Order: sequence, then C-alpha cells, then structure tokens
Amino acid sequence: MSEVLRLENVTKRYGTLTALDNVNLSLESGRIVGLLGPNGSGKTTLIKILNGLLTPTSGTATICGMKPGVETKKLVAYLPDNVFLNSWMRVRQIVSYFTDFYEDFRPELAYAMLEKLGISPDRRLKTLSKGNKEKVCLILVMSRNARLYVLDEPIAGVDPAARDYVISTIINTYNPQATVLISTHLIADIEQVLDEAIFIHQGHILMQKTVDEIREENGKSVDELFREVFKW
Amino acid sequence: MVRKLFRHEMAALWRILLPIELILLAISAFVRGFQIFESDHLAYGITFGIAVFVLVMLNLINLVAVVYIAVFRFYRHLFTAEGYLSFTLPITPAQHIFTKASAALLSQLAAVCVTVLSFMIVTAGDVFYEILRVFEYGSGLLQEFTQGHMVWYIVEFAALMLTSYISQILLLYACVCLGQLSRKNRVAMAIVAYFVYTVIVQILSSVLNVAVSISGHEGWFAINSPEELIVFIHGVMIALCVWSLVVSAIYFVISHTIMRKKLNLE
Repeated sequence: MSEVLRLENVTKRYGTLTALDNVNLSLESGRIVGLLGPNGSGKTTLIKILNGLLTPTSGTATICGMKPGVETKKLVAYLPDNVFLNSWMRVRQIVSYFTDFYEDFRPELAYAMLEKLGISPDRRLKTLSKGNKEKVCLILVMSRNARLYVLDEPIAGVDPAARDYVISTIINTYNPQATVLISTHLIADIEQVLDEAIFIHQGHILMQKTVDEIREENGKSVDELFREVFKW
Repeated sequence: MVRKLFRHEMAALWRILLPIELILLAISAFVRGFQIFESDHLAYGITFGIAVFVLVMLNLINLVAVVYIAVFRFYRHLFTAEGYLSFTLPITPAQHIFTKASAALLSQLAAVCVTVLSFMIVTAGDVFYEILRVFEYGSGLLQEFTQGHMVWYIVEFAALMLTSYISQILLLYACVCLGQLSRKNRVAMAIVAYFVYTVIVQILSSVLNVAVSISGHEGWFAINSPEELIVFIHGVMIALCVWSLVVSAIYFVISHTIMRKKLNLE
C-alpha cells in the first residue's frame, strides 16, 4: 500500500478563528476512511484544503506526494456537500462536461447508473428533485477512476432509503486501489463500510484507528464511541 | 484543456445571447419590411415608431448585455456552488480568467457585428447607398486631414478599442474577486470595490487633465504644426493602448492572486 494523502502540521485560521490546528494525518491507498466529527469540527476545511479550495495558513498537504494543484485535481474526485452543477444543463451535457475535463471519467458507467436510477440523460438538472440532483452528483464523482475520493456529507441530505443507494454506489463503483475519505456525522449509516475512522474535534485530530482496533480496544462500535467522545 | 473550457464558456454565453441576437435581426427585418408599405395612416406611424424604438433599445441591450452576462457568468461559475466544480477541474486560475475574458471579447465582437448587420438590414436599398456615399465623402475628408495616416489611425483605434475592452472586463473580474475577500455581502462588496476604484480613477484623470490644460501649448504637449498634431494623435493612441495593457495585467494579477491564494467559497 502506498501513501495517498499526507498532512503535516496543517493549520488554517479564519481571522481569529482556528479551524484546523497543527493537523498531522496520513492515509494509505485501498481504504475507506471516515472523517468523523460534530458540526464545526473542521471536516469541511480539511477537505477544502485537500482539493485546493483553501490554502493552509501553515503546514503542508500532499496528495500522492504533490501539493494540491492541477496535477492532484486529476487524481482527486470530490463530492461537496452541495449541488455544484449548472442547473440549466441537461444530465447528458454534464456527463459530457466531466468526460471533457477528467481523463479518468467513465461515461458508460455514469450512464449505466443513471439508467438504473431511471434518470433520463435528456432531463435538465433543474427539473430533478433535490434527492435526484444529489444522486447525479454522486454518480458523476464515483464514475471517475480516481486515486482519492473525497465525499463531504454524501448522505446528510438524503432519506434513509436513498442512503443505502448512496453507500452501495460508493462500494460498488470506487477503484479498489484508491482511498475513499467520507466526511459525515451520520456514523451508524456508514460504519459497515469503513476500514478506518478519524475523529476530529475543534480542529484537532483526536484519533485515527482502524474500525477493528476501535471495536477490540473499546468494545464498542464506532458510532457508540463517537457518541461517548462527543457527548455534550 | 483551454480549448474545451473555451468551448463550454462560449456555449454558456451564447445560450443567453443567441435569442437576443435572433430577435434583434427579426425586428430589423420587420422594420425594413414595414417601410415598403409606407402610409400616412396614424396607426402605421405609431406601429413604425414603436418598432424603431424597440429596435434601438434592443441594439443598446445587445451591446451592453455581453459585458453583464460575462461578469455574471464569471461570478456564478467561479464563486457560487458551481465554483466547487470549476476549481476542482484540472485547470489553473489563469486559464479560467483567460478563457472567460477571451469568450467575452469574441462574443462582444460578434454582438457588434450583429448590430452592424441590423443597421444594414434596416437601411437596405437606396438609403444604404446614400449612407455609403456620405461615408465615402467623410473618409475622403479625413484622409485629407490626416495626410495619409488614416489607415494607421484606424488600426490604432481598433487596437485601443480591443485593449480598452479587455481592461474593462478584467477590471470587473478583479472587482468580483475583491468582493470575495469579504466574509459577508460579497456581491455588494464587489460593487463597492468598482465604485471606489472608478471614483479614484476619475479624480486622478481630472488632475491629469488640469495639468495638461495648464501646460497648454508648451512643454511635452506643444503642438505647433499639423505634422506635430498627427504625431501627437499617434502618440496618444499608442500610449492609451499600452496603458490599457498595463492596467489589464494589474487586474489579471489581482484576480489570479485572490483565486489562487485567498479563495474561500461560501
């Protein structure tokens, strides 16, 4: 296994607010990792830094040995926590857009998943329900053959039935050589698929362990441990 | 990659512009056709007047719309939710700015061509020949006045229009980017940045104008013969082109730096 992601002493401040404080982190390939923390813990800030959407105040982030930039964007498939597509575009046009810009995009896989969901490629995005828009976003991201998938709250906005679809899509479509980093606070829903869990709180990494280690050492599920650690 | 981005950019701009251009040409054809059935009837006069008014307004909208749509597109594509996709494409901020400014420039040229075409349609026939004759007479006078320098003046004027347009678009992009430095009300802050900049430039150019007026016909701006006037006009045109390119570079650097180092999407 090779190292996909490394953060060294990464700090991010917004004025007087410290969102990430001296974070050190390393992720290896072939793993599904949960980035778990309550709201405002720094999950999204960390994810934005990985995607080159924020510049750290200090410290270094590298993906496959490279600082976030054009080359790493070819390797990272990112699902933000909002609908990031042009609403006036047809689904087919969006697929074509991804095909144009991402060399690792697999349009046939995207069309197959859309067909399975019953979403016509000729429909404009604005005519789809919120849930279906989010599914289209997920399908596009997971149709890439990326080295690192970064999914920010992929199940937060969907109903429980749709959550199963989202999770099965992630499991069935990701490149097994890649790493999947899933940020969420809905742990019970994704715990079954996680290899590793990272607890983050107030900009600090509290813990990074495999799910098996957590169960063996604490005698608890990840969800139970999370509730205990972050109890009000 | 830039070519693909440019193609998508043009498609996004012309999705809105194309209907405006088609309506403009259709109304131009309507106005021209209407003239064939000339009548003294009041209803005819009113309808014709309204059609001409709509045509003039549409032409004005056509010329201004490109700038508005280009700036709106710059903001929406990069700094709203769409920015999460735009900035995670394997494309540099410089390529984003370059393709958006190029698409805006090309679309503006196309819009100007459509306005010229609209004018030609409305004046098709004898009127057009009359206008051509007036134009020929005017250009003959200009040729005489400029002592054979007219072609160069036209080239310099065209270059000035292009560089001025580029600098204006890049200025608006830079203001949108400056607005992003604010935590709240980013659009309002972009507008404030534009007005503050405009006021400062107005004050500085007024001071410069006064300085030039005071120096009068002496010093750097001394013009004592028609030959010196011709050289002076060339100098002014070239200096303005260079100035537009210099400020364009500054605006580009501002936008690029903010997009590269200070990006913070909402």
